[in-house]
Amino acid sequence: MTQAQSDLIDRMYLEMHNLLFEYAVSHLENEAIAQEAVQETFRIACQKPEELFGSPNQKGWVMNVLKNVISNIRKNQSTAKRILGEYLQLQAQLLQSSSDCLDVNLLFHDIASLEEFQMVKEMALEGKTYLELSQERGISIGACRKRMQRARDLLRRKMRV
Amino acid sequence: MPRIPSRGSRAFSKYDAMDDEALRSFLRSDASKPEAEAAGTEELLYVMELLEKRRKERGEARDAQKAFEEFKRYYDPRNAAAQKPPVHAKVPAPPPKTGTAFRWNRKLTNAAAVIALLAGCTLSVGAARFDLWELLVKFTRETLYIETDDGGEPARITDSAKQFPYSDFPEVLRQHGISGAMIPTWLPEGFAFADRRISETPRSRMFYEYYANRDKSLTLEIVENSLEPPAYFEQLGSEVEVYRKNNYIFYIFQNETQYQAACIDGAVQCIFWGDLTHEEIVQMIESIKKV
Repeated sequence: MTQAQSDLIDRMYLEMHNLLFEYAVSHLENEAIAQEAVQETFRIACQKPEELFGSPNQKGWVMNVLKNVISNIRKNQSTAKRILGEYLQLQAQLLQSSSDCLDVNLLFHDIASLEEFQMVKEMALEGKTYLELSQERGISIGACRKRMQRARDLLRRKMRV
Repeated sequence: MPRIPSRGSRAFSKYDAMDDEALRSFLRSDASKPEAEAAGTEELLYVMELLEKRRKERGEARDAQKAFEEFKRYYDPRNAAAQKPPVHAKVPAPPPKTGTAFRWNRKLTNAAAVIALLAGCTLSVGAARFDLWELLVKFTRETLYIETDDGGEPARITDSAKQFPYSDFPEVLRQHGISGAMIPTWLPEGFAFADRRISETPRSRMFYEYYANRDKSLTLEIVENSLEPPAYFEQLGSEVEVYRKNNYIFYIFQNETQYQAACIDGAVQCIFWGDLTHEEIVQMIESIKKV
């Protein structure tokens, strides 16, 4: 990315931020998550300058990125909620069907106490942002995102068992 | 770039009379419409601008400059410092270790570490190669259950060509009661001290030293865990290499474009990563001095 392109992204950020926020908050109905959606949008813009500056409608390109980001956030939230719901349901069934609680612990021992599992819960049920999760754990947002993805994959695999 | 249309644009003036909820509903419904039926960028921007102006009139304007600063600090991939963890000024003493819970949690964390480190990769130990199952066993035995060997000889410095520009990092660790941390005494040419940060979570205290060489970065991290030893590393490269230095085992791997080395010594982890060559990271390991 050239310095001129970099400067232009900065200007676009300042010009479009509040407008994009309005769009995001209309969809997500949570200001912190909407704010993060806008941040994520410009993170992607910084990573794809060729696409952004190759577009004949740069603001339209940014809008489309934001739409995709919002769609992904919703998808992730709904997946996490579904998986957690299934997990809790399965746990309850096992507790009812057996008096030996150890079985439940054994079944979920590899996820239930993992930091990542807590992260999924906090994001899905408490609506925490990546920034909040990363600050609480002293890790970067990038690392937080990777852990979250891994946790979702792990939970998905577990739910298939 | 097309300019954001002014609020007075005739074509979109129908939106002026709508209340906020109607405008938000319009934005929401637009996302679910087929592309051919979706509103154009200018129309959407007009509605968004309308909502923003009304927010301003209510005295609830968003601070774009503040958001921009947050973006630069935490999200911006152009800024290497955005990858740094946030700073915590106060570092309390770590919580006491507990017997049963500690052992149980360690096993759970170890399972995660195996997944994180070894998924889909092969490992080379020195020049030799091991298959995945042998690796799992080996890794589990040597790293995840590694115990502090206080009786072992400290690593000798084989290359004392360059000492830290800021040699008080060991002192900082000592002041925080950290002993047994392994710190490289050699850094690749051109790297200069940039910053030092200390952060903590309920389970860990982390000490970071940042170095920069033009657009390159290098980070040293010492982690003291209250749960021994939660070996958890991000690993996106295709191989993990085991490098032995005296009594210590370093795991060298790649994270995107950066090389990273990690070693667990009891409850203390030594990790460093940056824009380094494989040769440089090995030389840093060779220069380790246990403090």
